[in-house]
Amino acid sequence: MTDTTQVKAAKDVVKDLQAEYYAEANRAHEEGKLVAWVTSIAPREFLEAMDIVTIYPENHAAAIAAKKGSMEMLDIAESMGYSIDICSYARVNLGYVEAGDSAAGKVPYPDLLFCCNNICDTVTKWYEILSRRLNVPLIMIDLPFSHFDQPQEHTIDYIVGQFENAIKQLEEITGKPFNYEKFQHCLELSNQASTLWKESFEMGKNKPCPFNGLDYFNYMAQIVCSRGNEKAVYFFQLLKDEIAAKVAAGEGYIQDEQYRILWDGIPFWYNLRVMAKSLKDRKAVQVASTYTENWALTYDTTDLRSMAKAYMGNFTNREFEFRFNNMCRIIREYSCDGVILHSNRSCKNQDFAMYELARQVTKATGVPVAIVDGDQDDPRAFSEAQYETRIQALFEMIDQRREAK
Amino acid sequence: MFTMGIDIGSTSSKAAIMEDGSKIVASCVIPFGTGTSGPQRVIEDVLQAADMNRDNIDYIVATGYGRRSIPGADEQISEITCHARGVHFLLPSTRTIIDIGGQDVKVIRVDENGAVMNFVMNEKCAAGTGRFLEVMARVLECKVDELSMLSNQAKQAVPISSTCTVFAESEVISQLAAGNSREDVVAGIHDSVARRVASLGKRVGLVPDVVMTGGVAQNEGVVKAMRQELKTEIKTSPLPQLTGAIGAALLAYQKVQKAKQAND
Amino acid sequence: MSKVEEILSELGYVAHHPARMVEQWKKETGGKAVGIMPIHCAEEVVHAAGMLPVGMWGGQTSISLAPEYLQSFCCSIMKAVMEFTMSGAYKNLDAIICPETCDTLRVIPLMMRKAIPQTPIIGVVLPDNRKIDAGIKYTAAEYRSIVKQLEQITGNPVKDEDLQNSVEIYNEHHAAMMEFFKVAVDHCDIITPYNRHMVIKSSYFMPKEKHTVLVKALIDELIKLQPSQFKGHKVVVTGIMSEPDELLEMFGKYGYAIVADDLAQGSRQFRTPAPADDDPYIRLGKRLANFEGCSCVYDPEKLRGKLLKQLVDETQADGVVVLMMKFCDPEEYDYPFIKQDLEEAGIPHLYLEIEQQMESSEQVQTRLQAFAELLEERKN
Repeated sequence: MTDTTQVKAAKDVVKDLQAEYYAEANRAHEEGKLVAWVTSIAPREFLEAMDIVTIYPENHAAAIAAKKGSMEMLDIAESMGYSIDICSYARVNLGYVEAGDSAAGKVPYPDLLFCCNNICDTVTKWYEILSRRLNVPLIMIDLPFSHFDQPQEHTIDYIVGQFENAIKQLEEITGKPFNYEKFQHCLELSNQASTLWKESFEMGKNKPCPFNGLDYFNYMAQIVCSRGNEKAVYFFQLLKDEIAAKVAAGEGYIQDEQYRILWDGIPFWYNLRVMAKSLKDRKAVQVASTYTENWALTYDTTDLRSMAKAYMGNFTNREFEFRFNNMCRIIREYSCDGVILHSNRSCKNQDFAMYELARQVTKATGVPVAIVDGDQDDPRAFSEAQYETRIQALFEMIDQRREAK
Repeated sequence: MFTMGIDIGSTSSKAAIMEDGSKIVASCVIPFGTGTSGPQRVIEDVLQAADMNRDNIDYIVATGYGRRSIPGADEQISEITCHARGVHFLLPSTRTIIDIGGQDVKVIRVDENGAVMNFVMNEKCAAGTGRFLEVMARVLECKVDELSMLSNQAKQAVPISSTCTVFAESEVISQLAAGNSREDVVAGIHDSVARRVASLGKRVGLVPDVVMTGGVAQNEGVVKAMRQELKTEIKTSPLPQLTGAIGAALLAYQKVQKAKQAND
Repeated sequence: MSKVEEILSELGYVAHHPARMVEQWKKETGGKAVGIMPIHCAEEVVHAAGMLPVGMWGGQTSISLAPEYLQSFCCSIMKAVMEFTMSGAYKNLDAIICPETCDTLRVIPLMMRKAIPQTPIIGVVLPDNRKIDAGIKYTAAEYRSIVKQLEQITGNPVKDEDLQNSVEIYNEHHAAMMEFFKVAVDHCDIITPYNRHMVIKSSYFMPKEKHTVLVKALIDELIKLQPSQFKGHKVVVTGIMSEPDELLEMFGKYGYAIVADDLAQGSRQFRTPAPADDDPYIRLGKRLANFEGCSCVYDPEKLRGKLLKQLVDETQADGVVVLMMKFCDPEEYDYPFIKQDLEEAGIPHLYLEIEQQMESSEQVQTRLQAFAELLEERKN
């Protein structure tokens, strides 16, 4: 990292870091370093401790869609018999496994898989398939869905048991003893990065909002890929400082912002442009998203039980009241005027609670909501005209609500 | 003051000219939608009907699927807000609007001022829309506006379970092949549309008065099926195809008034 | 009516009248009934608590209420379950247990709690790492936690020996079912796909000890008969379930016999016994550890294709019918490897997309007929 990056905007730095990340991964792989394919909210600290290169098929699939390359991959997967109904990240990645290249470039093939199902059960199925297809071992971290406000003790026991088992598996795969010292360091760095990440996006509470919340879908790559090493700490410190300077100067992403929006769900990666435009044209800012909050993962670094609890605590792993209270809290803390919920064909876990969530949230807060139909990676499930109509109606409802006041 | 509302749908174009936001001076419906000559013609025709030209109109609001491609419109507003306002004008006691258009179904909850409180729309699928009925009419070799009459003569509706347009088409064909009468099959089709739309309505909650708008509201068979399905009285808008255009003209008037207040 | 026909008719009645069976149980015993959602919650815990476990695998109904909660791309079983929940069909259930089987079943219990707040909805989350020691202990602890919640409903404590006893009753029942499947292969003319399903389905709505008696009687009667000379097509079916009845009737119409199943509602429930252990909860944990071949149970080796080949070999089946429940993620993920494994083994298979509320029987008929023709040609 050269000094010139210091003056660059975080937005550009993250691009450099990602490019560097993939280049380094490819290089490391060629040099014989072990590569793991990993799910997005997995406790990657275990891998970092063993110096294993981590690749995130979900991020890669998102990048492929953003580069308009997802259809090509989807076609390959569907021709193999993968149903159009299953998650499009999985289909894009399974297509990529066959193609070996993509619109977003190459990633090295894995020597092992590291799957954590706190986000959904889809990843479990997807990684099972990868394990057999690529004939590589799969380390499964099963973080049970919680029907209670607080996880039960026997659930934590099970998770800690799995952590211990994962350590054994890693020792076998690498042929080296687990590096507890480095692991401890990774836990600390992970917590630092997560704290900085959270502190940075929480500045979105300011009026005007100092950043474009959509940029967080790009920053996310770093909290996913580098949480647990120095790079993430470096980047989020830089990001936080950049945003803090804007807040101090009273600077907003849109100076005369008119609307503050909460986004729920994964974006349509193949059409971020339409998302950005539909907001910017109306002087609206996405100030928060339920999605980015998932990585605000902090825990007691001396206690694996605390780590277990943190990793099972993301909202798709929690009961309805948590999801509801969480959304109401964000609306309140960030002074949101409206909510956009993405009914995403790929994400049944979120979808099937969404109608009720939308009803309850609008009832409790009075804030108008719009549900938009689409998919994270499959452009066929998205209609721009339909999207635009619903977004427009949302803003008209916000206006009416203001007029009535 | 005269304002115009233009509603360009996927299968038809509608326009209305209003005076002082209170009186409909002229209106016009053309069975061609966006991407055709329909939008241009509906503007010409409605001006002719009112014996006016563009200069007589103070403000034009466009709405509907093709709302962004209307040259000369001063502003575009979504059909959700426009329908709400239009129905409120025609039937002020309305609290829930069910609008079945060519390719969209919307259920809109409005307050006592005609402001939108909440709305839901169909997923990206033609089930339950006007397009669905068109496809079915083609299979039955009749016109869309004959469907209502046919279902009126039904003895017993034949259940059509498919919600997917393509599957429903083959289901209708096999029901006819099995010897069921066209009348009974049409009644089944109407029940299927009603079920589909009703389930959408239940998502926002149906508060009376419930009013149906859109071209399909002219099909008494669907309205009857909706009444049965929802077990509630359903009114139809007196000018079902024009509510969007009327709402747009009303919102146009409101815009001008507001602009005036701001200048004063 | 022959004895066989009598038993089949009784089981068919039970399979079609779950609500009446619950009412009857309550009247006769004064006990309570607990609904159990698919797929792998051990019913033994409910049985041990002295309550009637009732399978909740959807059913035939038109869907009109459920879309208040669910998008169109939710599987038809869960749409039907939600419809029944909202229409009051489950009002006789004193609690409902929902295992977290897939992403859809993560959320359905949360929505049920909203739709029928008066009924306790008990969540259970079974482990993926079911084979490691921590996993077996966790399964046991999850069941202990359910039992605690059930004790609150009945007011009666459940002793370990109660559960031991229930596990034995279920082991016996499961063994009887597996025996029945084996015997039925020689009597494809009587045990049609439809009748076979009635034997399975009825087990979800009556006490297992009673069901065992009927199934054993059925087996005794069948072995008295001459094996039938079945001329049709013997197939193994795999998937979640083989409903609706209309589908099974079509199997019969086109000359199919189901000689073995790998259905979640069928033999996946019965094929793995609970091994011995002093702790009955650990027995349930070990059973899950030993179980293989379900799309909803963690399996990085993807053994299902191998298992299907084994079933085909054992029963001399002509082919496999994959009953693909539309919008069932786990099954849809499993299919390409099943396809590959069957193709490599030279076993013909039919991919048949089904929904519990069938959208188009025409399409299913065409496919079943064409596959029957294909199997016929292979014989020549």
